[in-house]
Amino acid sequence: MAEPIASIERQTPPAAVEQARARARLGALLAAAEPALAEGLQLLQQCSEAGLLQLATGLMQEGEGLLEILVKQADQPGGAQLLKNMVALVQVWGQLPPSLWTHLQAGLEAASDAAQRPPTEKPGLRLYWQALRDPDVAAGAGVMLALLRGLGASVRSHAQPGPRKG
Amino acid sequence: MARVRRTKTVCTYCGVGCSFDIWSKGRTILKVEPSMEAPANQISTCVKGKFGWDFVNSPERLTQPLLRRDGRFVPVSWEEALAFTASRLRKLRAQYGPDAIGYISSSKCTNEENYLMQKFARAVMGTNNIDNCSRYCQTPATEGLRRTMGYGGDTGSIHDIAQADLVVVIGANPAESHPVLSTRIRRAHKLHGQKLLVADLRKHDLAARADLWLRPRPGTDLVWLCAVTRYLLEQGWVDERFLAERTTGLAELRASLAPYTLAYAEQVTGLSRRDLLRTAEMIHAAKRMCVLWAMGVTQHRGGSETSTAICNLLLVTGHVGRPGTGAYPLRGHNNVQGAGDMGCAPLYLPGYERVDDPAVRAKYERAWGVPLPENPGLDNHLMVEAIHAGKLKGLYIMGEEMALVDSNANHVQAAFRKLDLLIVQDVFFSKTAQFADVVLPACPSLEKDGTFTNTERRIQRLYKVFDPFGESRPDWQILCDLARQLGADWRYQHPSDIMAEIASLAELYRGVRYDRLEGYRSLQWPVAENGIDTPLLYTERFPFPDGRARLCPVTWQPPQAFAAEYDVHVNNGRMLEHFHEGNLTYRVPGIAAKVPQPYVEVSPELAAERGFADGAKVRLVSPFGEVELRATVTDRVQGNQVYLPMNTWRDHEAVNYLTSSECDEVTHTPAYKEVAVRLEVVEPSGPSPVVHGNFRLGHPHPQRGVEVERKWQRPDYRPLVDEPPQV
Ligand code: SF4
Repeated sequence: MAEPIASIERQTPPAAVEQARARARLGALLAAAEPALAEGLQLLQQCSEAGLLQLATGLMQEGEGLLEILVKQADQPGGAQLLKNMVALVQVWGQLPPSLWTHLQAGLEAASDAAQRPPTEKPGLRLYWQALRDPDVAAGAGVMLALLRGLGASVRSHAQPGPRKG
Repeated sequence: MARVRRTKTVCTYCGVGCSFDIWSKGRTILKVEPSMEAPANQISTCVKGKFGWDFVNSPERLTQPLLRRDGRFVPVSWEEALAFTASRLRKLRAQYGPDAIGYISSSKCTNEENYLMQKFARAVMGTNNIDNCSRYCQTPATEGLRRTMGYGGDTGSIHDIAQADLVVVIGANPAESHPVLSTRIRRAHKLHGQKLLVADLRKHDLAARADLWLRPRPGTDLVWLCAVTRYLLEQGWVDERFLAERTTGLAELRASLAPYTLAYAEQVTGLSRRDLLRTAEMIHAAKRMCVLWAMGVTQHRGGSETSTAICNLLLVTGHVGRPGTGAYPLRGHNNVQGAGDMGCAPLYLPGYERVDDPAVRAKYERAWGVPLPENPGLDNHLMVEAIHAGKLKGLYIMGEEMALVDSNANHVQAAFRKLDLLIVQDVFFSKTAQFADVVLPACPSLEKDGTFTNTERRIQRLYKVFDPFGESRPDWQILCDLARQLGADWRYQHPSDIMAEIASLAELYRGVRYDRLEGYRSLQWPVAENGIDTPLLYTERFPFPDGRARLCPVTWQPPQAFAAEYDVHVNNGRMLEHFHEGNLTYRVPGIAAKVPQPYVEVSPELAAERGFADGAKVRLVSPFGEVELRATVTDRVQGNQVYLPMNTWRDHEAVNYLTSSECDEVTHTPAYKEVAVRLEVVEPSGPSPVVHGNFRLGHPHPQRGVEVERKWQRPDYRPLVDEPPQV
């Protein structure tokens, strides 16, 4: 008489047994993937020689020193132009005073608010003149003029070869 | 890191055989994507095919073999489990002979696994005691077709059903049991003028849409079918040329139909003369007719006879062997057709070659290198009786929840208690496994390669999506391991090796090869050596010596009578969202949330008469057992007929505690549909078992497609382009 047994005990195998099973599974996987693994190892070796592994490890471990690693890698012979450009961009970004970003952000927020309001009367020359008397607008216009000046000087220096103007 | 993979598979939830890609990453299913290449379903799937696969990662999966020891199950290694199983099988055979052990294969497993299971029973263990669960559903339909037309399979394809002028659906609910197939009928009916005639007790989706819906008394389909056939013959509304050139036995059939007058049919079936005449007129008007039937026909004591009556009707009217015509017994599970094709039946070897034919046996003996048993074997119904009689001592069940899905569950479970050895091979710890001595953890379809054969006789490949879970193994591997333990030299490395052997032996599968089934390619048997297949059967001849179909007289077997106290008839069947006993789909959280439990459908009249409301808890008591579950009050059923879905794994809800051991006299398919009960109200009201999110709470408004024209005609419609739309 086999009476029904309504449940089963789900045995969690001891850690050692589980590890042995995992090793066996890995062993089978390694054996099955042997040619691909050999090629993969070769690739890994080349990545290491080219410093790419150092780069990746750095990325993982040293979030803060990222820029330094990128710059170093970019200076390596054969370093990608894209990487250089990225580094240069980050450098320029880093050299700008943090306050400029704060100002720009405030300006953008105000512009965004204005964009959401219904349009007012068509601005005439008189209205611009009046607006410039607002100290905030005047300060902003000063910054924009300085930006235009710097931009223009750079454009001119690249357009006319010759001694760079100080 | 795991990569995203895309793997083609075939659905295991019904006989339509939808195929689609599974996108996966690691063991996560990202999506199920059908495509136009899929031969049976193109871009369609139903809720089960699309969302029903999360069970593969269920923590309840069996991951190690289990042995019964001192009243509990102990996990053991495969070596120990196989050695134990082999030694117990050997001992039983030595003590009682090979016929003291039975083998149950599965219509959910692949063709290759079914082939191996019957080979294991016959060639390794020496018995013809082999069967599969298609005995529970469609064997009577196969019998009806084999008697009259020759092959036990659908005569055409889903494509033919869509092309027909008239589709007749008898005792089937395709919208829930064969959902994608039903969409082809619904589309043809809505858009292409197809007529639909449904005969069913219940107002299911197709019945509600039908041009004519017949609601005969339970178990009386044969009577109206014969009466209509007789009337058609009388009127001369038959295909005289087809009858003369392609059939035999007309005189005998005509004589046998004498008692089936329209008046007699009215009296027995309860159908009106008007409806019977309309049925005959619709058949007469159709140039192309398909008849679809399922368990409402087959699961009766006269299932084979009614199936034969359907075939007679088709032959008399000449609706066979032409596009858009034919006989379609809708196979329930994904591989009902394949399990039969592979010889998982006591009387047949693969390809339906008879075991009692010495020439056939000799062919297989040469191929398998062993003498084969001559004794007739037992089917699964007879196996249960043989256990009770003390003749069958051991049973090996692969992938079947026999304790709940065979009829008269109490009787079946009592038999299991008496066994000396029960081997259960399954994906989950099922009710059947509770009685086992050894439980072998198997893989579901997504973890194996192989082929299935759908209801259209279409053979399709499925590819392995995931590695086996834990230490589970594909069924074909377990069978190979066990056969080797028992000394057989089975060296199959891959299911394709098994298919090569099948093709070398079974005529119907002669030209089947894995490379011919690559990706979404498929073949419909019979497949010739050169790979040419047969989507439409009998275009020129029937596979009998004279090439003609045989008209077979039939006899009506009235349904079982019950004592007056059992005054409620229990119809039963599937629901769309769940599969079989629910071991898989109730473990899919999304599906279980929509339909967390089965329910009994009760008519408004019966609820009012017995004084209970929707949500009431009722007890149904039959002479064989009882169940208790909540009721939903609906006009899908009428009067004293209730409907109880079979989809549950919980003892107190399972319909087979109510069913009897009565069966079809020819095939021994249980008479699941002949159940009567006493209804007792346990709680007159309560929470409805049909919960929020269940489509049955909706009010569908069938549309003719997207109907974008209606949007264009709205006064507030602003075109996005300059040109006005062409209506
Ligand atoms: S259950 Fe049937 S209809 Fe639904 S996706 Fe599966 S095979 Fe297709």
